[in-house]
Amino acid sequence: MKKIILLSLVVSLIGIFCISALTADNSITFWYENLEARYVKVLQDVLLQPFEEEYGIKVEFTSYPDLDRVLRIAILGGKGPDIVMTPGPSFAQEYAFAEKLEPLDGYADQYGWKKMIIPFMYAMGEVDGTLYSIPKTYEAMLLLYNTTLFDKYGWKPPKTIEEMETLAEEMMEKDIVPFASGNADWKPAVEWLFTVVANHIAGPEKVYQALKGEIPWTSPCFVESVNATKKWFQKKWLAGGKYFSMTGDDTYAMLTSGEAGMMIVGSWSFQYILGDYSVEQGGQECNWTPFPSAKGVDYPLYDIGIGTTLSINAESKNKDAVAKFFNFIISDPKRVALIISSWPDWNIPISALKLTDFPSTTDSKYVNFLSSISEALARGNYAYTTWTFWPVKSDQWIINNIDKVWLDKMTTEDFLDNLQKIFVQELEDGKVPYLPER
Amino acid sequence: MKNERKTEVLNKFIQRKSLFFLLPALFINIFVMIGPALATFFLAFTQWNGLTKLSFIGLRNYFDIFHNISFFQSILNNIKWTAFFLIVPMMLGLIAATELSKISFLKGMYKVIFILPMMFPKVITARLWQMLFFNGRIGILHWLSQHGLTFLDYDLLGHTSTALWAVAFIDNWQWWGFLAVVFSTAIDQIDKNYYEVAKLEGASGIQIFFKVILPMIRPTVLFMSIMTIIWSFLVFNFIFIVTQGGPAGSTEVLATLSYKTAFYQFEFGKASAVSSIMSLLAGTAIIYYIWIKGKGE
Repeated sequence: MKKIILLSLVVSLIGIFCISALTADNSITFWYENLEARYVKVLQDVLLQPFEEEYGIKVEFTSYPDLDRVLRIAILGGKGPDIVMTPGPSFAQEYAFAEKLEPLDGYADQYGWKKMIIPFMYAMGEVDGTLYSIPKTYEAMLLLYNTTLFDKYGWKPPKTIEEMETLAEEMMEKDIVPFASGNADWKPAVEWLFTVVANHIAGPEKVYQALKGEIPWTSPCFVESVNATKKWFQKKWLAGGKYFSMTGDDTYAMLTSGEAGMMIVGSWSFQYILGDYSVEQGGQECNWTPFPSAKGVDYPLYDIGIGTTLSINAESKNKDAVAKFFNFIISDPKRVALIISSWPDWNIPISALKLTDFPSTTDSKYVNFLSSISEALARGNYAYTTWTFWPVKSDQWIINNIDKVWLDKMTTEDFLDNLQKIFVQELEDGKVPYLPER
Repeated sequence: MKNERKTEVLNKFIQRKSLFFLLPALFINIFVMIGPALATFFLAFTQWNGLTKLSFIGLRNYFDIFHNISFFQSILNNIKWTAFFLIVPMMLGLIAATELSKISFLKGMYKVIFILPMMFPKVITARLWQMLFFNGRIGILHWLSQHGLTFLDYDLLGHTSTALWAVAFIDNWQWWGFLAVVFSTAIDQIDKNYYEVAKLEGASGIQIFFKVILPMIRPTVLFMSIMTIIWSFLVFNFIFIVTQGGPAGSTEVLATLSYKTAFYQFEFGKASAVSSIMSLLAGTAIIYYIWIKGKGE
């Protein structure tokens, strides 16, 4: 009897071990930001379920409202998900420096990712020459406008800063808020304004030089750029003077209801103006145009950002499975087109993507955007978003202090002087993300 | 004599046994509170981004924060917050509690109504007030400004002079009722004879309040005042949810500054330095309270 019990115990233990070994390769964990139920369904239908059907590997998906903080603490504790999703290359870089991410060069060679991903975005995932992350989303700053209003008053989408400011004055005279904007629920929204003025007034060449440390942030071109945002704020062009109490939903509602004429926002906004605030949902017709440029600055010019990156947790026991999932995401242009058209937040920058890959039901506005940005990237007409190309502390300085300039609590010169000090230190520490050569 | 000796032994036994019952709470305090508090104090002398190895840098974090204007603005905002909560909700609570002491019919129902806001999660309360009351498009104030009360067309959360008080207003909505119930309970313990004697001697309502009620509930008022000071220096949730310290740092307090330094700038050492100063300021109130109690007040 005792022998039978002992044998049963041994067999059970072996069984448990085998099951553990099997399940270790049969599921991977993926932590995501907070998202709406309809997009959870898109993710399941387009990616997670097909991947599981093809490879027998389940992707266990969990969403967190404060993902970056939760992720950092989990990874610090040697845990965290198999798939590490960060808000951008500078964040992934931090994890890479701390040896918390698995190098991806081996997988990149195995699957040929270098050829699949748009080259300069591939390079942004490298740290000291080693690939640690692939881009999940790329985005660009745009100017949205209410076409119903524009048609009614005979306005044309502006191509220069001067035209945009003239339009803003005309809108104010008609009691139309020039720019739907606000940061009540997303404080970093202020950096969108810094991004567009730095690149479209000072110019991407100057921004490039400053990010290389060749010219200081205190240069007159940046003073002029920051002062432009101050002027827009103090003239009440931003949300009619109620910038700090407007949420993202308020801004889309203002634009699509005709309360506001324009909106300075990124391409992630397509999911809203083609979704909850679309014409089908009762909103007015809206469209996009490249953000205007100052005299002497290229047009059209797109401020490019990598919104999110994907990496493999160095502690993951399922690295091969995660790499397989990454390859599944980016290897088929038709699948990429399907997910992008269903959910513009997954704007994966693969080289092989053609407009003909997109379903015929894809909104033409979004197809035009993708076409336009491809051409601009091919010509080198791109610029730099703060959340992708600035190091973390410098970016936080901009987010936490530009409103002080607007409210006359700090001079533009002091703001840029402090930015320069913080940036120089981060440059010396090697914290500035990769910058492709212009 | 024998009985006295037995009682003494029994009392000592009970006291020792009671110590064992305190051990679990002590264990939690040490490992969940004191341990992390000491770790935070130690981290304040290091440079650490939360991922890589930490390095000891002495007092540099304190030097940096004392040269940071945001730090002093945060302390000032904490002081303003403390002053607000030592006056407004305390007064409202005392007045409501005093009036409650005069009634018996539906007294319980009033207490339930007063304490009801405390039942709502702070996140929900903050968001509701932010959206339904203060929002510049759909808020009640905006609606009223469009229907005659044009003076209400003022973005209270968007101006540095009013943002802090607007958030304090939200917190006060949830807090003052709790104080009213606590003070009401204390007032209910006052011997009714004191009121009778005061009335016989011709005291007015206000005199009864200042000469009878307030002195008799002084320990409760003192305790709640000390707790208000402590909680005011630790305030975080309403401010973080509604304004995140903006606009232009006008609602930044030590807790939000510490949080943002840690989780937005990834400077955990500096954040710990801010936290340790925050704890020191709150701890000063605790020390004062212990001192006062020691004097038998």
